[in-house]
Amino acid sequence: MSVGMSDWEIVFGKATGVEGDWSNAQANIVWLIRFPRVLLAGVVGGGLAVIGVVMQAVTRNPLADPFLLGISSGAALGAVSVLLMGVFGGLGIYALSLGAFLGALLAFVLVFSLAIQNGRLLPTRMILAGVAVSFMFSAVTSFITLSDDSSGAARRVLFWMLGGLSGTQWEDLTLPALALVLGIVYLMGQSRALNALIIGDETATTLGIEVHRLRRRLLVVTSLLTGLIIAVSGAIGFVGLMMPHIVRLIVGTDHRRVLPVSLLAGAVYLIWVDVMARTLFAPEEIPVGIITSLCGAPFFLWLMRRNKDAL
Amino acid sequence: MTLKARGLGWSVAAQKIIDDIRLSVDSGEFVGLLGPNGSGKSTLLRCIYRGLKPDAGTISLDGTDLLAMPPRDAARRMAVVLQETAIQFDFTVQEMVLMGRTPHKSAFDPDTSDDWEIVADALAQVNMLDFRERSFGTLSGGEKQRVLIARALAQQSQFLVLDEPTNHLDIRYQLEILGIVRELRVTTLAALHDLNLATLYCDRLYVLSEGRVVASGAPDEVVTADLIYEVYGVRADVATHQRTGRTHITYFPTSVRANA
Repeated sequence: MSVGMSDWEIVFGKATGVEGDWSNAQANIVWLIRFPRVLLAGVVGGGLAVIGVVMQAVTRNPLADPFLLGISSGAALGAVSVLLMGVFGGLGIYALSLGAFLGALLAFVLVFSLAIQNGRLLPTRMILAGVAVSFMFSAVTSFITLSDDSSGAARRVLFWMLGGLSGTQWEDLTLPALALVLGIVYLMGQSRALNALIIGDETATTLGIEVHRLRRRLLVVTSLLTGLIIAVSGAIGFVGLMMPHIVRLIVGTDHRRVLPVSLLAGAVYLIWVDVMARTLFAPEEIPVGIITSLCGAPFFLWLMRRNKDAL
Repeated sequence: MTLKARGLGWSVAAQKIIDDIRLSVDSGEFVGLLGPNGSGKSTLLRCIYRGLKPDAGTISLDGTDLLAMPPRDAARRMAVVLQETAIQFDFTVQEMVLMGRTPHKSAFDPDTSDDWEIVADALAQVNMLDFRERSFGTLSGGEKQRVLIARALAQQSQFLVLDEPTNHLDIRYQLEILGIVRELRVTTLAALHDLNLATLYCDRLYVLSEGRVVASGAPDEVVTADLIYEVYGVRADVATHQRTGRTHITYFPTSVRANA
């Protein structure tokens, strides 16, 4: 059925309690199915873009992205452990988020410790460590999935991993949206520090920043955001890589501008990608992760050629 | 602003990179740190600007323990110009200099008109005001170095640390950079490579060899033919230059024997 231009009227009506001349069924489609999905696409897209900004600053590597560095596969492993093995079973709907966060944190710490040599972060090692960690975690995830006897387990996991926003409900929004709001406030407070950090650890130190403490905190904040977002969206690649670069081309490197603009750009981008995912082969829906990868992988290659020193 | 370091040491894997360093910089002085590659100059500076934590000794700034100072306080008193390294993310020149205001700012403080005035003054002092909108990555080595000095100036600290500020620069820019720093009349400690430039610009010198201070004092007392041979393994003639009035070193190629 087509709801058309009255979508916004319904959303407005629902939000303000105003009655209108729409049927209950129309209202439910818009308010319970379409609207939360659009909002979640915005939260996920904006969140992934912000994570990309922070990771690129912390690692000083323009190619850093939660997916390339294996953080996402860590989150996926955590989430799948929850889905199939019932870890943290007592936590109900938050179990998946907690699992994904812990997995992301584990992967991040692992990649970081592998990439540091004599106190220096080596960009090439970082990417290689990310790839290795990514494969390792994916292998464990596949193993858990395949050794699960229950029917439909593999399908459920695969569908989740491909990244999709279908079936979004209002409850799915709460945790990632809350984390994103708190996260962006914290990060905006650190934006001067991020500017110094992206130049170098020593420069940041001489400008009065406690580099190790800041880095540890940023690590936890980005892992938390990654985990909470991936728990509801599955693997949506390359948003965190693409958005910060496009934004920097327009507004420069100052994080006081890059952070909010990336948030916005990521949100808008993923909302439109999700529209494409729903309509390109309608009524068949394709996972958004497929479209973001199709757009993102060529972008990554272009970026790699442009920044020859990064690898 | 005076800096005093006592018994400073830092080692890695039981090898002492610097050992028992005693060094002081008095208010208004321009002090040079000399020594061959690997003598510990950079390590010593790192300990002072807190890039490394020394495992022995004390450092004080105007009598306050520098090592126990909160980083922000330290950054308000001491600005550092590091050797320029390639950066992957580009800032404009004025954004780069504005970063010098970081230690004066709390989490959500905006840039004030005062900050922009300080940035403009700093850029004017190094003759880079016309470049303020340029992207830092497109500048030449000498221009970059001047911008980094402007950033240090924007920090408005009374003590300046420079790690080989003239490295990889043409001689004209080497003279220009050191001239700019000299005219700032800020208390300065600088690691330098070139002995002739050091004697030309510095009030006092420290010479490091294998992690220890082997000589210190006024340039004409410190830089002698014997010291140069002892520390660098190079024969040289040392004389007072009649135009500059400063100690001038002429190096001999290995084919020329000393006293020949």
